[in-house]
Amino acid sequence: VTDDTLLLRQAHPNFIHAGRVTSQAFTPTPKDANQVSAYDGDKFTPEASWMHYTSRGLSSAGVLGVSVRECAALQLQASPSSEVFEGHVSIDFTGIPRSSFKAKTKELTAYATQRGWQYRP
Amino acid sequence: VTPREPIKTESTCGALDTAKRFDELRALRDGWLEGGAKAPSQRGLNWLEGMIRSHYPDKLPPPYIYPVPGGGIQLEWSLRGREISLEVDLESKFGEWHSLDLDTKEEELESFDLATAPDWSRVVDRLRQVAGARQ
Repeated sequence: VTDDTLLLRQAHPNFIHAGRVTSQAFTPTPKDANQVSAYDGDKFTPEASWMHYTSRGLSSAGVLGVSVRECAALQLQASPSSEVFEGHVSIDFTGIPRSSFKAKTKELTAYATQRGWQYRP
Repeated sequence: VTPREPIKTESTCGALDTAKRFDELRALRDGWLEGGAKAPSQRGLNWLEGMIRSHYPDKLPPPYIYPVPGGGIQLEWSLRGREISLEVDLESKFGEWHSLDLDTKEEELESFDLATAPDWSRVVDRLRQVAGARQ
């Protein structure tokens, strides 16, 4: 991935209300071990990422995007995690105090919101 | 990257059907997020909807409402460059307020006892301050 790579994040239907996306869309859950899963936008188109995700029986109402550079500006490292599957990227919240999660996820959501939906089925 | 479709940002008065949203939330079941999330309790949802109906003024922009994987509910507003959230624990009835100014990066954090009318007034006052005196 490069600084310009767009990281594609699937938005769960329950994380959208009246067309607005919650900042929880970029919050790592406890089971994610402080990693937020995304697709490498250099390897997947937004539509292909949605197809890949939902073909595993998971729900996505659309695809959001943030760049590696935007993550880095928030002290969040994004790196390939091909052990999950080829083209999987993890946005790493390790070492970030829990108290800082809300601010960082709100900023990521703001970047993604400004950019608009990358794909809507 | 060219946006394919804009995403709604700013909160506006009267645009949301809060009762309909609570009905949607009542339909959630355990495991709603990739199999690993707790559904909010029916009793808790009834309580929160009632408190919003009793204490939240019609003239303020209504909250966007989302489930939290741990079984709670998060109310959110986007007002004048601020991203505001109130994460509500339906069991303890406490709410964790967080506000971020996207320009200045200024943050506000506060805890409210949402079982009490005075703390709902404090939440409403905070929102009025952000939304502007005309609200």
